[in-house]
Amino acid sequence: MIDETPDIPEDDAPLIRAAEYSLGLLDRRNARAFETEMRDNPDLRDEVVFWTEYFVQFEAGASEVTPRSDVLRAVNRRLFGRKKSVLQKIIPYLTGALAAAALAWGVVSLGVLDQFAEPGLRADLAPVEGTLELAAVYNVRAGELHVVQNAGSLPPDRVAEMWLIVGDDAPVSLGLLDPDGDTRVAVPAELAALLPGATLAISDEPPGGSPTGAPTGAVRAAGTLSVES
Amino acid sequence: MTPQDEIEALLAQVALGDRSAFAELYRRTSAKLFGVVLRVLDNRSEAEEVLQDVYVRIWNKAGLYRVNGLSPMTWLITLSRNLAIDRRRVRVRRATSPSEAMDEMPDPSPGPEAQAIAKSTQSQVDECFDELPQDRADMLRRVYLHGDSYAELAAHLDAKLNTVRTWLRRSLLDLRECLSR
Repeated sequence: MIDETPDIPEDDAPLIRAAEYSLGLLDRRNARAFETEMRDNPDLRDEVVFWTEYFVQFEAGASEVTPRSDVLRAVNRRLFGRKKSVLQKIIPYLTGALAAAALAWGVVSLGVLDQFAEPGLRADLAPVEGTLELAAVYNVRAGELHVVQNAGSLPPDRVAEMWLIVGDDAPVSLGLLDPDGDTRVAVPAELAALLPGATLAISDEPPGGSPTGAPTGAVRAAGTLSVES
Repeated sequence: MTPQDEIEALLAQVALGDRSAFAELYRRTSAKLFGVVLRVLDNRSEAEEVLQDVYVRIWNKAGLYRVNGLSPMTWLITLSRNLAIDRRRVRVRRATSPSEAMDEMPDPSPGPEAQAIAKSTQSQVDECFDELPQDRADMLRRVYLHGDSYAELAAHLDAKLNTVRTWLRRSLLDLRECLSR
């Protein structure tokens, strides 16, 4: 139910909803409906930003309260706990006669080395045509490419598709980027070996992605993957 | 670098998976964000659970703050406040069936913890806010700082929900009009 108050003129209704959305006064269904509306309406987005920045002024001077120290520990456990358990699995081997062999096995097949040094592959994707700017980091352990959009946008009826270009080979699609600007793509281990020195490129494509399996739109941003210092 | 710039730089590093930047961000912002969450929930252990969710979300979504147009601290506060309000709404839904929710709201007055935190929050906003009648200004402050729903606000003011909604919407329009002058 979208409840209109009779004495609010029709034209003002979206502005009021933007304020109500910023305050958290819309129920779940109306909030989702508003978010859909907002996606296609930059004015509405600006209005939400305006109200959010306005109301946040109430926070000035509000008390700060130090949380118990085990909150951070719990957060770390939730986010990074999995790593520790792999290490713990390895440690018993270190005391055994096969320690060296086991460790070597761990380094090669589990990427355990990554847990100590965390070297990563990184690419900064600079604008080619337009204003799109992104950064991509490959996490060896997770087998995952994390791509974050830092600036720019595409025409409203186009989607961003990411391509991996190794040497002179034809571009291989890594899939569409999430419209929210934060994308994680699983990259299988056999492809991962090809990543250092490879190019990542973003093209704009019709909704659903390239219909041909090769880039069809303009190249919007590109960069080379190299080992992070 | 201003503190805002520094938070922004930390978020950029967190977006790329930098754990030491994440620890530093936590050190700098957790007391502020815990204040926000605790004020809405008024229950320490529940607030600590939500604060965990807040930082898990920050780690996973740090790359997004640049695309939404908010300043970094506003983004962090808004994210925290939204998660706390979500939790609070779930709590209210559990406490009463939907049909009773209007009539039998739990007492929405802030508890001692939230009151203590809110005391220091009578900060100045601007002239337009000062132009609102005092009771309307208090309503807005209350909705923002404690995360009241219309139903909770109506119960608190002992007024009809539709009436409260009309008051608040009218105030928002007046405020918007004054601000765009």
